[in-house]
Amino acid sequence: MLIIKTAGSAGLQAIDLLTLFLKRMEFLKDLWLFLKERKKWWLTPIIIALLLIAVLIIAANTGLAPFIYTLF
Amino acid sequence: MNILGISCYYHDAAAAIIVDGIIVAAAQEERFARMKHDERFPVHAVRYCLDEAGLDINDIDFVAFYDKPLLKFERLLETYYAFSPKGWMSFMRSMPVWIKEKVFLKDNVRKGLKEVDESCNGKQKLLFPEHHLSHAASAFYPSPYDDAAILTIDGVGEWCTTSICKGSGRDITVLRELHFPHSVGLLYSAFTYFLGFKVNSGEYKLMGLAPYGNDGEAVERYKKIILDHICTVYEDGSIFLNQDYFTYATALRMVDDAKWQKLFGFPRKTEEEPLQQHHCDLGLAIQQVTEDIVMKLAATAKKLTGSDNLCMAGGVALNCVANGKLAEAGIFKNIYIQPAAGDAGGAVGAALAAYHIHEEQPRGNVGTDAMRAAYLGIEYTDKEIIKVLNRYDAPADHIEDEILLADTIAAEIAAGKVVGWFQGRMEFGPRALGHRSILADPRNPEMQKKLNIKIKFREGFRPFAPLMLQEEAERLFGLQQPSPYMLFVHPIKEQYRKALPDNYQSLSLMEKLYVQRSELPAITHIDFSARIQTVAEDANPQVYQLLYAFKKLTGYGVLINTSFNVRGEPIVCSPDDAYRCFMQTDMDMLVMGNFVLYKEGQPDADNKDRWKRRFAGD
Repeated sequence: MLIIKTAGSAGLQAIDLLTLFLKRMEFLKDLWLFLKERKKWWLTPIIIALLLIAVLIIAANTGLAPFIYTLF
Repeated sequence: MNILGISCYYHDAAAAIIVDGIIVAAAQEERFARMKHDERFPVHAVRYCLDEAGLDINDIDFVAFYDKPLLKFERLLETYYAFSPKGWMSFMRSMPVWIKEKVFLKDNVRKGLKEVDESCNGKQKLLFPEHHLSHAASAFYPSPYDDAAILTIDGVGEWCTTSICKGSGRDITVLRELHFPHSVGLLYSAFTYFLGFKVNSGEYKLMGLAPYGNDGEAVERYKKIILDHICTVYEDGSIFLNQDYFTYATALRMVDDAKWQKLFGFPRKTEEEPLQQHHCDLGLAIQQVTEDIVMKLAATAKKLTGSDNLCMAGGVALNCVANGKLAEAGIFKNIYIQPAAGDAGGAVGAALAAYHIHEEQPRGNVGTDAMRAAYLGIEYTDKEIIKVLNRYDAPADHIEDEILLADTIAAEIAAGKVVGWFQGRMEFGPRALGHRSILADPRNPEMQKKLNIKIKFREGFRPFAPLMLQEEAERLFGLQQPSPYMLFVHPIKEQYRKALPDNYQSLSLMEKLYVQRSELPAITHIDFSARIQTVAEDANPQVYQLLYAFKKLTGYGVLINTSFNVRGEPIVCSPDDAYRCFMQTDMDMLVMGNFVLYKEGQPDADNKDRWKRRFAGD
């Protein structure tokens, strides 16, 4: 889950974003190793789609919402 | 090297701590949180384990979680894909939980550790042994054997539902696996559901119900239906479940009720509906099918490994009727079953797997049982007990002399009193083994009814298990081996049985229940069997002394032992839980350490409602 913390109206703090990025990187690394080990490449698009949906749903409830809506 | 093992997020959350390969502490979260089968991150259990080991969270080198979340996620996606478009609703319901939480398990474990102790520095290395490897490790490493066949059977882990492994020294080699959706555990759970009990907690009730079936034409017919339509059993013990009859892969229900009704000729039993003979007959049929599968799996394990020793774990290993028959069959000379065979034991197994497999450390316990009679939980001091007694103004006698205490309590039990017995370290696993127990006289023919209805508030048909001196197990049941974990069922010897009435088969279930079948009617189940726990003096000196005193008085070193709780409540953990449970039931006495409490004389003794806590049904 992409947890986006807001620091009042000041928006996202750089340190939070960095922590989040590193955590997600760790997950993506684990996911890559897992898919490589299991050789289940056909699962990749499904997992990525699910994760993107999760990110969009969660981000829609945050200060990022206006930017997301303009993208679509 | 300090390793914390954790199992959680599905059911029966637990924690265990291994220090240099020794299991120092293990506990289930439900006991502290007072919520049966609590699946949340075991914050309280971890705190207790750290306390017991005298460690800080930052002293932990490895945290081992008992399964692989990504592999489980793979199984879910592949299953939904295979069954699509069936299962769409279930997919929509389960995916948010997975993509929000469960696939990010590392984060959740780290958050959990931070909740345990704010000062957690996050440097503990996280490991994820497979679910069935955790089970196998939990059975083999604490066992006294240097080499053994290992059989793990449960509902499902990641993909695996049953495994046969070989344990040798510190190595575990997987030899065979049976994969989802074909599962002995899920098959048994499906019948648990169809017969009106709760899945994941009612399986042992089904096991207790089975002997009420009339072993004859009806049972044979049900078995034939099961084997012809639902489950194909192969010679090696592997099974194939016909998914036309099951819905667990795509829905939150176990079976297709309408198809099962058509198959067996009666609808799914509701919880409130009274039990009838056909329910018991079907229960016996599935129990016999399960026993047959377990027997075949054990024979395959023997063939593959050639070992004389068998270690077992996984929820199905708690089926002590099947275990008893396995022991009787003599396929293996020795059998060791992990006392916390369900998912809670996965915490111990994961930690041991991390130590012996990942860190390649040798075993030090060969020849001994490293589970130490399962007394791995929290202990309370006299000071803490006194604090609770003072809180409730509860009058209590203090009997310092252990022999006098045993003699006093034995005399009260022999006089018909029911005693709450709270001593020493709490047990790890689903059974109360004499440290958090309710004890009573097994000779009393009214005792089963009294305990079920007035004390445990549970179904009248449920049997009670005995704890006994080893020599009594030999004398009454012909049991040569110790059975410290109450995991084997054995029939009582012929000479202690009483003849059944001629019209026995035509009696109703409750009438059958109250037919006296032996000189120890309260612990002799309807098929003359008992789920035996033997007590060794070194493992449990207080209970040993009590049994010894009871034998001097009555000629039997045997007591009824049932878990210290009421229906739906986790087994009591603290003196406060024990006192409240004592006060809300018809229990006559409570013994906590060396403090003896009598119901009469307790403040507000008649007002049971004051002490009641609300628990969900089990």
